[in-house]
Amino acid sequence: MIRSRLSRSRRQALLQDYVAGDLSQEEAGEVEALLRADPKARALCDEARAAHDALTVLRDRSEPPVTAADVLSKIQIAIATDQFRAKPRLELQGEGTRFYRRLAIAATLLFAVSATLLGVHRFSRPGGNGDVQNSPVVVTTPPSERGIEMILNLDNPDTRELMERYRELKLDPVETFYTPGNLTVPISVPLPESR
Amino acid sequence: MSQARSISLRIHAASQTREQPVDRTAEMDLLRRVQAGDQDAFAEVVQKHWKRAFWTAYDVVFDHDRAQDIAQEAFVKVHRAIHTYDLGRDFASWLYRIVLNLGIDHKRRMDRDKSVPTDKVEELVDAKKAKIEDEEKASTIERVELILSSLSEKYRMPLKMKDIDGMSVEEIARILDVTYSTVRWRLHKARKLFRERWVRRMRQENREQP
Repeated sequence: MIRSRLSRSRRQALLQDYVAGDLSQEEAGEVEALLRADPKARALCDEARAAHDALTVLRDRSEPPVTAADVLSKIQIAIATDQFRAKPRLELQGEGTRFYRRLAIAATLLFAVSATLLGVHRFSRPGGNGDVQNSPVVVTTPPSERGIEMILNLDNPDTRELMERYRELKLDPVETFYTPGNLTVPISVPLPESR
Repeated sequence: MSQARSISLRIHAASQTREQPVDRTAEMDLLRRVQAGDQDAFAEVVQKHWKRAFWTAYDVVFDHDRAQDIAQEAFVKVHRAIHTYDLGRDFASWLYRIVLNLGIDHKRRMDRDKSVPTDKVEELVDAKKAKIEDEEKASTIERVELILSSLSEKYRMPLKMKDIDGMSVEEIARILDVTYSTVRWRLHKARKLFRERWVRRMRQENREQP
């Protein structure tokens, strides 16, 4: 008989399992026999059932005060921020590589053009690269986020020709602020577009 | 760019409840779409699991605002790790584990910084009451939550997972990373503690009534 075989704590556990519906049919049958025979077990079972019923009320909890629709946009923003934080390391590496490759090409072409037109000696001091008064072009360093900025010296007689060659080479500066009378013209070469 | 891509919301009126059977094929198909980067599918996953994620978080921290933060954070984590998710595993259990871990972390931080202003607590209680139409049920829920919150986490979580969320002991053992026997033992202990406290409270309330 189940009553005699079980310790008090084991009986409690069994009754709780019975109330929760965790027992097999056979075990449940044994517990029901016990309940019929033992008023103390019945009292304990009633308590366990009351507690279980109270606990399971939480299954019927209403919708959360904030619905999924309310939070979805916040989650999406958080994901976007997360992606933004996670991606740049990889993407910037690619962008950076492309950027410096393009910078190197542009610098080489500029140097080649300038050297052809002006002679390499014109880039040596005085009047070398960095001497805004006497050299046709100064590449500002470090390149800014907007691109490579160069200042062309319009006082230099070869500057206009250099600019023409610059356009012929299709380096395609996005902004050319050319104001007659001004001494310098800044040109921005854009960063390569990200994929 | 992916960050700027707008994501349309597909919110369905019906939410998943404990009783609804989970269609594994449909669930796997949905998760496969999420893995492929389908943001509509992700929105559907959020909608489907939001309620459970929220209340799971709530049953750890017992604070609506924090529960919302935790559940939100859990879905961000899901999105981040979805490509590593094994479709053979139960998604709800995986999400449950994420929510639980985040909840426990938040709870630890809360315990270190126990400074929830009283008016905030009142505001939360009022908001909760307003949401629950049935006053009697609301009162029972409040009392149950109070007793649950008095149980230690190691007893509270198996009890909640088994008797409220309807998980199997094996599932709970997997999520909590403990043995089957440990779950059984904690469950028995938790039920006993809850029953004793519930009965004591009921008796006390009956005595106080005129």
